[in-house]
Order: sequence, then C-alpha cells, then structure tokens
Amino acid sequence: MTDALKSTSVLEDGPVSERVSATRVAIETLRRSPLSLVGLVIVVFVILVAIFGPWIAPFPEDAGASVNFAKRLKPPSAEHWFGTDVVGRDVLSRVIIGSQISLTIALFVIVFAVLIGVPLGVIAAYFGGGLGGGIMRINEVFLAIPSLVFVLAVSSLLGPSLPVVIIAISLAWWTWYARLAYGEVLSIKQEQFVEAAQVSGASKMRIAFREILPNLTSVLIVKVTLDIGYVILLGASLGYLGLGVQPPEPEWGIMVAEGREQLPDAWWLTTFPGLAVFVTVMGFNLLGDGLNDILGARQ
Amino acid sequence: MTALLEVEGLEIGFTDADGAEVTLLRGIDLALREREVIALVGESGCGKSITAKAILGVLAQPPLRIKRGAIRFQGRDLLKLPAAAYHALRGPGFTLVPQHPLSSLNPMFTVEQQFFDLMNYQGRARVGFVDYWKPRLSATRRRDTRERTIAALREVSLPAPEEILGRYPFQLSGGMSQRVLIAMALLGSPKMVIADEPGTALDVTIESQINDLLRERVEARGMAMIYITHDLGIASELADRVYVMYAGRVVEEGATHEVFNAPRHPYTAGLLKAVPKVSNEPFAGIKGTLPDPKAIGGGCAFRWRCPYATAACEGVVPPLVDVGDGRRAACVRATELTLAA
Amino acid sequence: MRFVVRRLGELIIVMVGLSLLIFAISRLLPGDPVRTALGENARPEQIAQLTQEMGLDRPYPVQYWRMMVGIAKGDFGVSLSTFRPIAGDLAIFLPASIELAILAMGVSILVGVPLGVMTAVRRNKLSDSIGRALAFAGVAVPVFWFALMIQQLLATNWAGMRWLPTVGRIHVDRKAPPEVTGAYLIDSLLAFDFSLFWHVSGFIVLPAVALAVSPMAMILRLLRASMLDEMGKDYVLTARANGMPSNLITYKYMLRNAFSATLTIIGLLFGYFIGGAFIVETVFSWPGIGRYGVRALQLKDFNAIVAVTLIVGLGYAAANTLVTLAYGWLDPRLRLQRK
Repeated sequence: MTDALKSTSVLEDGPVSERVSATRVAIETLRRSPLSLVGLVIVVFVILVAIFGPWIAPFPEDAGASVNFAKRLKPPSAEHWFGTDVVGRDVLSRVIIGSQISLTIALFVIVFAVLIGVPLGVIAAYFGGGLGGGIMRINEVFLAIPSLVFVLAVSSLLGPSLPVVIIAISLAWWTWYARLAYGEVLSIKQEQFVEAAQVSGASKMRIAFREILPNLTSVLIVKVTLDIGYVILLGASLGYLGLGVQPPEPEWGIMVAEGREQLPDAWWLTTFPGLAVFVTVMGFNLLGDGLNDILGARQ
Repeated sequence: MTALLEVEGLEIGFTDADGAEVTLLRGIDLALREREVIALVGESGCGKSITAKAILGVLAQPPLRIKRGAIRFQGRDLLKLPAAAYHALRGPGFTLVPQHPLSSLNPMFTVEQQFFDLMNYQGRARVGFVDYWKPRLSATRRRDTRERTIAALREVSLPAPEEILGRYPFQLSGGMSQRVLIAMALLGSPKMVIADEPGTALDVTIESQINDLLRERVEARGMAMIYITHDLGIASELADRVYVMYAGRVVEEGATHEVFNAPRHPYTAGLLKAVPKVSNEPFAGIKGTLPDPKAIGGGCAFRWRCPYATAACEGVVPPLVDVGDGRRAACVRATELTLAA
Repeated sequence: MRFVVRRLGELIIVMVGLSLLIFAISRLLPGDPVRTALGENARPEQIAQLTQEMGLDRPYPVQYWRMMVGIAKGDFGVSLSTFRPIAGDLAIFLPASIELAILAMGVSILVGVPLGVMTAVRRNKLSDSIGRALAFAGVAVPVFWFALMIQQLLATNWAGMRWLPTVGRIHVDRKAPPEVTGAYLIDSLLAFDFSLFWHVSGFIVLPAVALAVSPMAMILRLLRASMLDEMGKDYVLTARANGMPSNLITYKYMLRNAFSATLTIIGLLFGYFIGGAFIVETVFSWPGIGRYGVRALQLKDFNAIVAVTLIVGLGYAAANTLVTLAYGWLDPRLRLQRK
C-alpha cells in the first residue's frame, strides 16, 4: 500500500520550501523598496559625476579662481544650466567639481575612521582589562562634545584646509567605529565558535581578527554607507562657516555661503549647491537603509 | 442546545513574497455549544492559533486574509460585523487566555493599572479624552475598581491580592502571571473563553494547577471554552469534544473519550501512539513533518506520512464524513480502517 | 542615588580629559595669538606685555593649571577678540541658546512622535511612504541650507507683508523682559507682557524649526520602527483580544514601550542641537553660544574656544545624564531590578 504512494511523493516529509540565495534577497529587497533603488541610482550617479567631473563639466576652468565679469550673476539658461556666480563662474561646473571635494573628504575620513576605530574597538573589547578600559575612556572624552563643535574647534585651531578638514572629522569619527566594534565584539565574544577557536589553540590576536571581524562586516557596511552622507553634511557645514575647505575651491558649503549675500535675487547660487548636498546625502541614506534590509534579512 | 459559536468553511491565507497564494487554513468547521469545552488538538503549525485569532478577530490582516467562510457567534456572522460591534463583544462575549504569560502583560504598568483600564474601558473600540479621565478622577470609582480587582484576583486563587496589585508583571512568576491573565479573561463575564495553550510555557506542576483552575472557573461560571493544545492528555482531561487538526483542516472530531479510545483517522491514531507510556516500548512517532502548505495540492495533506495511504489519497481533499455517533473524520478510508489507539 | 554620584564622577574625569585635549590642541596652533589679536603693527613691548598679562609666557603645565583653577572659580579668562571676561559673555549668551535648544527639542518631539506613531499604526502604503520620505529628507537636508531657505521663503515680502523676522532675538527698539530665567518667552509671560511674548515668539520660530528638522526626522523614524516592533508583541494581542480600546493600546501601552529607544536618541540629539545651533544661530544671527563660538573660532580666540568647548561638553553630558535618569523613570524594570 505504501509502496504505491512512495513513488509519487517527493520526500517522506513532504515537499520542503526552497532556500533563498543572497542575490535573490538583494534583488527582492530592491524590487520591493523603490526608495532603495533610487538611493543606489543616486549614489552611482554622484560617484560617476565625481570621477568624470572635469570631463563632463562644461566650464571646468571655472572650478578655480577664474573671473569673467561680463557673465556675472546670470540666471539659469541653456548655456549655464545653473547660472553664473558673482565673478562669472559657471555654477553647474562648480557643483560638479565640488562633488569631488565632498566625496574625497568622505572617503578619506571613513577609511581613517575605520582603520583606526575598528581595530581599537576590537582590541578593547577582546582583551578587556586596563587596556580596554583605557581605550574606551579616551573614546568617551572624544564623544563628550558634539561632533560638529569638536571638528569646528580642531579645524579652526589648525587652520582650515582640505587636509585639516579630513584630519578633524576623522578624529571625531573614529570614536563611533570604535564604539560599534566594541559593542559587537563584546556580544560575539561569548559565542561558541570563538570558544572553539580558543580551544583549538589559535592566538588571541588571530581570533580577534579572523573570527570576529567578518561578523562586524555587515553592520559596518551599513554604517559606512550612512556615514558617507553625514560626513558630507559635516564637511559642507564646515565650508559654510568658513572653517572648512577654503575658497576658491568649489566646495558646496562655501558656495552656499558665498551665494548668501546675493539672496534673494540670485537664488541659484544657494539653491543648487544646497540641493547637491541634499540629494547626495539622501542617496547614501536611502542606499544605506536598503543595505540594512538586505543584510538584516540574510541573517 | 443551540450553538454558541459556529465556524463554517473558514479559509485563511496570504500572498507570499513571490506572489504565490499560501493557504494556511483550508476550510475549518467548528461548533461550540454553551457550557461546552472543546479541545483543538494538533502539532505546531497546523493552524490552531490562527483559528483562535480569527475567532477573536485579532488576526493580522494584512498580511493574512480571510478568504472564505463564516464565524457565527450567537447567530451573528462576526466577519460581517462592523469593527465597533465586534469590539463590543470582546469581554462580554469572548476573551483570550494567552500562551506566554510572561510577555502577555505590558511590563511598564502595574497589575492594578492594567486591571483598571480593562475594567473601565473594556469593549469600546476607542476611548475619548473625557471618558478616559472620568473614572480615573473619581475616588469612588477607583476604590470600587480596586475592590473588584482584588476579588478577581482572589477568584483565581492568588494569595495576597493586595500586594499583587502594585507589582509589575516582571515581578510575578509564570504561574502567577497566568492566573492574573485568567482573571483578566474572566473580567467581562464572557460566554466563551479561548485558551491558547495556556500551560505550555509553565512547569508541568504549575500547568496542571492552571488547567484545574481554568476548568473549575469555566464550569462555575457556566462558560464555554475552546482549549488549544498539542497535549492529548490535557485534552482528554478537560474537553467534552475534541477537534484534531492537521495542516489547516479538521481531520477528526467527536466526543473526547470516543475519539481517543477508537480513532478513525490515521493521524489521530499516530498521535495517540506517540504519547509516551510507562512501559518498555520504544518511543513511537510519526515520521516526517508538516508539509509545505503550497505543495499540498488536491490531495490529503497527510498522505506522505500516512501508513495507510493509497493512490486515492492523492486526488481529492478528503471531506469530513460522518462516521457514526456524532463523529466525523476526514479520511477516504475512514470507514474501512480499524485503528488501534 | 549612588548611580548619580558615579555618573558625576565619570563626568568629571571626562571633563578633565576634554579640557586637556582642547588645551593641547589650542596651544599647538601655529602662530602667535597675541600678535594676531593686537594686529600687525603691534610693537614688541605691547606684545610682550599682553603675553605676560595673559600668562602665555609660562610653561604649559602652569598655564593649564591656571586655566583649570580659573574655571573652577568661574573665571574663563579674557577673550582675545573682545578683551572682555568670557564668563560675562557666556552668561549673556547661554540662556538664549538654551531657550532655542529646548524649543527646538520640543518641536521635534511634538511633531516627530505623533507622526511616527501615525505612520506606524496606519498600515496603508501612502502613509508608509510619506513617513519614510519625510524621515530620509529630514536627515539629509543640510541645516545651513534649510535655514537659509526658510529664512528667505517665510520672511521676505510676500504680497507686501513681512511674515516673520529673519534675524535676531528681539527688535532693536524693544526692550527685553525683566530677567528671571533668561528665556524671553518665559520671562515675558511671567511679566504678563503678552504683546512682547507674541513679538519674541516670531523671532524664535524660524530658528527653532530649522534646528528641529533633522532631529524630528530621526525621532519619527525611530519611533515608527519601535512601534512596528511593538505591534507584534504578545501583550498587544492579549489586550486587544480582551477588549481594550485600540487607541488606548496604541497611545498608552505601546507608546510607553516604544519610547525607550527614542529616549536614547534624544540624548544623542542634544549633541545635534548644540552643534546645529552653531549653524542656525549664525544664519539667524541668534545671540547665543553657538554664534559666539563660531565667531571665536573664526577669530582664533582660543580662550573663548576653550571656554565654549567646555561649556558645550558639560551641557551635553548633563543632558545625557538627564536622559539616563529619565530612562530609569520610564522603565520600571530598570528601577526595580538589581543588576
């Protein structure tokens, strides 16, 4: 009796549902959440603009200190999509080249912050004791003042410029990564596979970096994506206050500050750089959120 | 006696991420009379909880959807009731004794506060600003509610009810929490209470105390009860009638002692054999697990695990047929098989 | 109580560390601040005299010690740009910033919380998308740009009318209310001067809104996520099944639980309020610590910079301590359970 059925049934259990692959989850999430897709598109667009900036800007020489008084303060037109500024420079070109500055700052800061913060956090959590406590106390000191104020102080005291901005923001930013790594490692530390590695005789250092680090990765990826946006915001704020990248660089924050004097007439001077910041940061945020869903769903 | 609750052909499902239809409840029929206790028995995932939630009207729709069927309480189809009327039934009509006592009470409010809110606002879909404050500002009301709460706590055999009033749920043990929850369920003097595996999360001794309490209170107050469980022993102790569920359908129903003494469905028989007995026999189980709801198709959901399956089990979903003595079983071979308990 | 004492101890350690850090950075700056302050034509004797007066010729540890002792006595030294005692300046500007920060915080909570709850509770696609869009936009918008935009849009002459004032805290021709708290809004009410109250509220509205945008978005987002988490919980199901009114469940029971996570964010947000205030105050010429700080930074007035940094750090830490205490009040489990 049962034999007749066994030939037709799939398993004794009955059919089991299929396992999903990571790419599938990624595509699904992007499909179901158009916002994340928008974020991805924006981010890719901005990165491409930054990379190919000098080649796609219609007036690349305007990114510097060129002057063309005949064309000053022209409203947006076919020739100058974003209009011209107070010394006749093409705003569109400056916005395009400005993307290089913002992304450069963000890139360096994140790299430094991760390279300094994550290992420190991992070491502090894994080794604990005096070393760990010491590192985290220092961490708290840096976290004691709001990022903007700290960065403003450092930048002004060292003399604002692009490298100084990067250093200043990195000094503020490593703390978050150290904290994040610290927290993650503390919770993973007790897990069985770490104990297994310990039992098998691997050195502490090795365990710290080989076993624990990969688990941090997904949290880090999300945070990095979101942070790029926040660092860009911070850099632009510094520029606006005159304590960041200095003119005549076409940094978006400076452009908004310079354009302020021409308000409300030459509205294009503040609107477009500001929009550039907004859209870029929004893109990274949307993408980061989407990544959060993807990486979270996998676990 | 007329039926207090009648569930007819209830089908509940959802659309999964790929757009496919997944049917979790594939046509449930239940009947509950006044003062009757029925047990809903089955493995995890067979749809018992969903049935309970559907009756109570707390199903998460979306993503779940009630596709077909009727749930008649005192003659009225709940599925056609407007929300306010449905809500008005919660309390005086039916209530819930939940499965996880430790997480079923809000941790941020004391027992007294939660009882106060339930007593004074029960059954209303919304409570307005004025209606909220009126009872709270009246000293007589507060005192009155307090006394009734203490009485309710005493009814469920909680020692020192006055102390418990001021406690937060995390300060109560599992057994005490469950008693509190039972007291809450009895508050509105409902005609029917649904107990969703109330003892599962508790120690066995506590569990049996809770079950005794439930049975005693339900009987004393003349209530009907649907007791959901996967434990056949408890079902046989508490219930007048039992409904055995498998993969979203009722596969057998009838008076408890009859069903358990002489089951007519292979699944019921398998369950009974799986109950550990004090003997030297090895454990018996039913091989395999519940099938994927999407793959059941047009045949009996049990066919992969059934020792008596034939090719006939493939083609048609076996309907619940009368097998005599007011019992029904959903098996095409119900009449010909003799199953040992 | 023991907890509070412990936190205070930690606070002091962190403050000391911070003061060291800022002191070190300030003394590392290239160039001579005295020379900058006095100008290019300063004579060497003037420079020498000012340097000695300000104690800048002493060894660094001595300078640090003198600074700390001074601070303990409430003396932050003299500003290198205004030559006035900094403590005096702080006393004038601090209340204005606190008033702005508290109002902005109020706005962000009063708008963010209900929006967060509503977008969580209403399950339709539209409110979901609106909520998410608002949340993302609010966080991504640059404060300086947004402040400028609303300053322009809402304060310019539209249809011949000025809607709202754009700069400052009060019109030059009007007198500030008699000082009780230092907050014009409260003080004018206390003096029963309602026309003055109305007048100063006009000034504070735009800066407060500009400052509140980003935090509001974060609160909305977090609260929405927390509420969605709560919805699946057992107590919600049980309460609903037993007949508890749904608006009571949502706004009393669920919100209370969901608020814990938001409270943490509010602590961090104080940091944002302080930092953002630097920008917003500059845009709106709001006479607060932020604008004072930015000026000090632009002028390299490092006594003022140190002072502002320390005050800011202290304020931030105090706010976070308050949040931790509020946590304990909110969640009885923390109060009553022994760790």
